Amino acid sequence: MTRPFFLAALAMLLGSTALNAAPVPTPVPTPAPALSSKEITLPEGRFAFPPGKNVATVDANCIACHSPSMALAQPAFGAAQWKAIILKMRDTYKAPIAEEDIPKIVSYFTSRQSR
Amino acid sequence: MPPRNNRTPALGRRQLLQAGLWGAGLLATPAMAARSVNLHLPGGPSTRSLTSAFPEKGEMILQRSRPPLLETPMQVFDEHVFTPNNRFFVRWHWSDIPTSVDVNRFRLHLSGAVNKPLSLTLADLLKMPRMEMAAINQCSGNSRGFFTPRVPGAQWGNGAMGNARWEGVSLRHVLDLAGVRAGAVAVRFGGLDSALVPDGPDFEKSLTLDHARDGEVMLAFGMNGESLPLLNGFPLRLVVPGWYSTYWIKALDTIKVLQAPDDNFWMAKAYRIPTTPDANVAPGSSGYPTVPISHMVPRSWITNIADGATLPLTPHLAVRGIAMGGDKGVARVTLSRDGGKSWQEADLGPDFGNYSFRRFTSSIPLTAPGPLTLMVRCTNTDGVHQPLTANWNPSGFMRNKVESTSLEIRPA
Repeated sequence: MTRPFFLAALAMLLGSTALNAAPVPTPVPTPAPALSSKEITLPEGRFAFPPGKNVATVDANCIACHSPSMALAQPAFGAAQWKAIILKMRDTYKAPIAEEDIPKIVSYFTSRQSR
Repeated sequence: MPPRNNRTPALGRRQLLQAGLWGAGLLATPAMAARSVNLHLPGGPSTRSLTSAFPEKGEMILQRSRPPLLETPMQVFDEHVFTPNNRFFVRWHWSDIPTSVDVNRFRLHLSGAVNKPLSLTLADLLKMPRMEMAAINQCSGNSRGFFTPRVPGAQWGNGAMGNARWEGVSLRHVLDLAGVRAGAVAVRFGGLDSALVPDGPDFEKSLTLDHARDGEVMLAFGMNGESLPLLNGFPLRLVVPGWYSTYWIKALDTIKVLQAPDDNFWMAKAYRIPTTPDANVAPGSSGYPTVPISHMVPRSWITNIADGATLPLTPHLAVRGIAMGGDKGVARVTLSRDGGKSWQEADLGPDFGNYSFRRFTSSIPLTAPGPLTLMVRCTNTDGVHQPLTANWNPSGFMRNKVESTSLEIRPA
């Protein structure tokens, strides 16, 4: 870079820095990370809930969207709280849960916890 | 709606029912790792499998397989101040997540209240002025499993967080390329993941326009010197330094500039906190005002000593750990052995900026065998420190109380 060009570039940099109150992106001299196409296969996890009261109803309604582990890790909530969770699945996440299945799903979780 | 890469069709009711019936018929033995961990959650269940079965991931705590919820074991934070990509936690809402990305076909679409809608390739982004920022990505519900009384949701221990050097382009640069029109107030972000059911809420978040243009919010294609794991949002994710992870949209492919505040489910109904200090309300209360969760708060952990450990009596006990200032830098880390009556100053490690973990070390004099409880507290550069008592809210968000490690010193 010739000296006059360097001074002009320096002046521009100083000028722009003075006007620009927000952080200037830090120049990164290292090369960018390699971005190559990727493909993965995810492990399936459990296919079904463990045995329990009305487990077939739970499997029929729940497994389509998610594996069981997070549901099984919930603490010992009562029936009212489990019903609220299932209603959230139906009303917020639009799971097609039939009205008559709701108490059955609740009973699976509440009966598990009393063991 | 621009064409999406790698998007699989949303499941209709019939397909969902068929999938459920198929699933119920199989009594598959899960391929669970033999190793497990105890998260010591009050009331349990606390046992979680450890799994190395996930692609681009080493051993992780399994919270859920599908969609994946993977927690980082606490030893990782003792070994590294920057969380290795293959041990970085994972959290997806819907199970229709991208498992294949073609870097040549990927497009980032910018539309809405802009002069010039953009469709950027990764090559375009790689040519733009680059920035790097060290920042912690922490789930809003990190540590939810410790809430008392317990609350529903992912029952995390403390490992739903990670620190990385993020590399990419400032969001401001891209917004200015498109030219934001007068009257714009917010920017909404969406990724390659999709809701499983046609009317389910697709996961999207937004920031105010001023925040989006602050020069720190960035589009990241680099994480600790490598590309992002697919499970952490390859090829591109939003990085919002100092804010909870819910905003850090993974596999970011749509940016829309809005002329009204975003009222989508994930802003208007989900991820909201009480406006009270520490987002704390009494269990069972209702009717209080809420706002979207936003910036993080100070936290700290002793990482070299497990709670419940027994150690021999030596003249001094070496303590080390990590601290974070939330959305400000770490100013001090202090330790107490007398229940918070007195505090001694810890030594701080290198400073990687306001949004990074910072290591601390200290030496605790030991004079006699017996029980010893150590508390650790971070104060940030705004003078905000961790509270001694835990907050509570029904979502299990923003836990940041002073952590305690109880140990037994046995005679030498």
